[in-house]
Amino acid sequence: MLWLLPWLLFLIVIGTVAQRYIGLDASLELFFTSYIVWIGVFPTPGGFLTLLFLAVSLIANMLQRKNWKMQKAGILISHLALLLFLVSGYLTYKYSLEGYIAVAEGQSSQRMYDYVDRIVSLKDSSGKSVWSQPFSLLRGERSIQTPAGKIFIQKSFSNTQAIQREKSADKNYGTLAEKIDLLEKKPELLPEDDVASIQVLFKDTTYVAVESLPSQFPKLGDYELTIEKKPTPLPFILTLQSFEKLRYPGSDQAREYRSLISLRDTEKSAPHFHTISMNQPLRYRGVALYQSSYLVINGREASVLAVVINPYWWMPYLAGITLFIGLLWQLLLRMREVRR
Amino acid sequence: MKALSFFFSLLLCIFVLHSNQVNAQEAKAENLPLQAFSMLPVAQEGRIKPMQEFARRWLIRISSQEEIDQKPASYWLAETLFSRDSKLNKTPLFAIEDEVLRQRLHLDAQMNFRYSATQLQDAFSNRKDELAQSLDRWQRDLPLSKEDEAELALYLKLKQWQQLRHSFSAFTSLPDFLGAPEEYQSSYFSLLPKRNELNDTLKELSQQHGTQLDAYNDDELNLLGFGMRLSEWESEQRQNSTLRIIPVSDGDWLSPWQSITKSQLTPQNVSYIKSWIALGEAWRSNNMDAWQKQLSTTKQQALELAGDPLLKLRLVTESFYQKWQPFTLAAIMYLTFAALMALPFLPIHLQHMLYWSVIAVHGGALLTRITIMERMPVSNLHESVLFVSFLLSLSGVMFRQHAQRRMIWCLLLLSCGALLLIGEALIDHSQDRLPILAAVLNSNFWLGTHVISITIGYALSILCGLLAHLQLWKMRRESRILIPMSVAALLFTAIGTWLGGVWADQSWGRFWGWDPKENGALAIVLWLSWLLHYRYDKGYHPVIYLCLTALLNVVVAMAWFGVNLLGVGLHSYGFSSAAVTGLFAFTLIEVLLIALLGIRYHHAKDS
Repeated sequence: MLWLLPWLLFLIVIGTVAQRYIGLDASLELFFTSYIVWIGVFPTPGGFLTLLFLAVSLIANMLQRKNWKMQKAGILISHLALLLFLVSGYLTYKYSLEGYIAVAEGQSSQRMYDYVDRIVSLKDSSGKSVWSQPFSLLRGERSIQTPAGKIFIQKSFSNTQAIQREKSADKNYGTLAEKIDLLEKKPELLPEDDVASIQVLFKDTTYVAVESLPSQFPKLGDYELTIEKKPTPLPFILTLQSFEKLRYPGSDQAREYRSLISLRDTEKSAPHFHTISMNQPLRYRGVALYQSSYLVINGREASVLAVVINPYWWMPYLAGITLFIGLLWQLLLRMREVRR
Repeated sequence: MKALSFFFSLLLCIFVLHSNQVNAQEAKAENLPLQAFSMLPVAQEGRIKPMQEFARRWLIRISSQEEIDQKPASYWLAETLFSRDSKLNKTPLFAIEDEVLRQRLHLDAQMNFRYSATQLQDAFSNRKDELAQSLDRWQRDLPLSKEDEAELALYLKLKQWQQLRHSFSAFTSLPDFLGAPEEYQSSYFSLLPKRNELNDTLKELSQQHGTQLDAYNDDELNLLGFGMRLSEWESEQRQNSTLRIIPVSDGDWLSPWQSITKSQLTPQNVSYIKSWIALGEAWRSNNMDAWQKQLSTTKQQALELAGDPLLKLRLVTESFYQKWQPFTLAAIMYLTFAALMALPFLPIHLQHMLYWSVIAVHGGALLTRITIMERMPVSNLHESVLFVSFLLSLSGVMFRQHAQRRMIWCLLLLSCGALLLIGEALIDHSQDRLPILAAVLNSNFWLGTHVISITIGYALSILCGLLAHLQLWKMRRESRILIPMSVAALLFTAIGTWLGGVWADQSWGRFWGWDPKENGALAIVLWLSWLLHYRYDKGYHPVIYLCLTALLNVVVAMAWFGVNLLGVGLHSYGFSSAAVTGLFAFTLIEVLLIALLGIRYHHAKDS
């Protein structure tokens, strides 16, 4: 434990400072969720491995019989709490899903969208997806078979800079591809701010699809090629009845955001109404909905709700209560010793 | 008895010194006192504040100063609102420190780089097209160059100042330049019932004569001209929202013009506005009796309209707070008393008097802040400094019977004084000193649990660090109280961090996001845990243990201030080179000091 704690502290310090330069997600991947961190040519334990050592060390300590005394009860309970925190962290990392819903007043949604992952789809005229692949699997030049036919992926970028295209006379271009060419751009500090894009060759014509230009997604035969944030279906239909932004007096600054929503399990079910506001989420059928912010879409206010699906959300609460008991026990014990 | 006399004399000296620095003299304009006017309520920056503070914030914004010609901001505001003197337009008021902007507007460098409204109006009249373009881009959220942004900001300040001047223009006689015919020569408010009739008349005339101006007689031409000028003036004035003095039923506060546009002209509101008009008349005529009588009426009406039984208390408290700067007074007392506490011959009862008096002043200052803001003062870095320093000094109560009380209190007072000075340096004078909360932080429950727990943890951690310094200096093993204190610090910091995670889970659905502030709090928890593990390890060495405990202050400083400088995460304040230099200097000095003390202790132990 004596080297684990300072080593963990060191990782936290460099990982935190690194966030300024490479962003949170890259820092997480490099320091906090990695097995190995390379310092120069030296491999050192990454966050994941360090926490694994910590968990093993805690279990070993708890199993030692000499620690099973009233005097050490506080320490045992605190260590148990720590173990609970580590386990809940692992389970959350492995099994939780996060995303958002942006819905205008009167609109409904049955999906949440991922902040980071994108998918490439072919959609028919009714908007239904007939084929989709994670964007991360379509990197690099390759040929793929789709319901529209064979498509050759010329380039794909997770973050894009669009520049004016210098057209070749002997090539054909789609409407958007005529105007813009795609260049790779450094990832933004927040991955949800990245703009993904793809350039494909389909039946001797070059097409581009850019995530931020959904109205200009190209048509490949009977299908529309789209890139969007990965949707996940929800076990209910959410409708935004009204969105309220309460302001401070004499100011435009929001004091509180509030969404009145209705939920239906199916199209035919009766709706039930709930209010979601800042710091007061709604949990329903394993899904937690949080008031995040709001947007203005085509002049209409749309509420943005953060969505989390995490069956283990209760574990950090249990761990915290356990930690409080353990530390309080230890404090009372120490104070008794001082008085003696 | 001698100690008591000394103590009260000292307090008196401090108060006198402090009051010389603050503007304790009641401002007067000729014979008209401004105290009651300064406490009239107005809404600004999301809260209801006294007029004096509204005026001060205005002056800082446009003129980068808190008073003009040695007169307080409330005097300037009264002149701006009530005076009809055109000299006001020629008073150098608008600060333009940007040389590029001055050159763009062809303004000569003059004293203090302040320019009058007339000078700016003339300068902007030559740049109408450019301004229109900038305004259009700004309204459409399109990017502007730095120079265009600075020019537009100045233009908008001028416009807002003009709006302030014309706050009551709806209720006073129509301006001469409108050229109102006799039957319409009254206030805009009086004209409102006849507005539709005027529109109908103008429509009829237009249908009768069309665009042929020859077909109109003189009266009809005058009426037409008046109609056009009135519409233009009216649409500009209807955006006038600067002086929000009228509370309405939905909790919002409106300006006199907004009360017209939002149809909130109840008889009570109209009566209130008219009492303000009468106040203006008393000001212009320099009539003391009318002024005081009208102020009393206006204040009474304001409180009745607001319907908030605690509003008066908050206004009085804020006036006191802004005027007397109680935290500055507390900082002076801390540092002075710390110097006295260092004297070895200081009598015990004097030690207690010094200690408790500064606690009372600091606690009182916090209480005033809580009264004004109606919440705990823990919402930003500046407030956390005010609160942590109070908890730190209060923790000295534990040592009131301790053998090393004097030295411990000396260290505590010195640290608290230093923290309050840091707190002063953190104030952003371009912002409200008493800011409102962002929506996601607007939860008294979480502010009261998570932030208070963490601040208690910070205070106890700093106390542990100070105790360790003292033990190193005295070359003694750690005192018996250090370990339980470390456990208490760990308890509060760990639980505070956990509560922060719970709050984050309730707000965003994630308990832990590796945010820099979360990581900072975790760093303190890890350091404290490491200390305690080391203390009970076989290889424990008392000097090393004390040095590591003393370094807690550096860990807390990094976690508390350092993470804010990274410019990322939810608690970011952006990079500041002065803050980085200060933090670096503190860290270096602490590390060197602890190393020296440790080496000295180690050699003494060996010998």
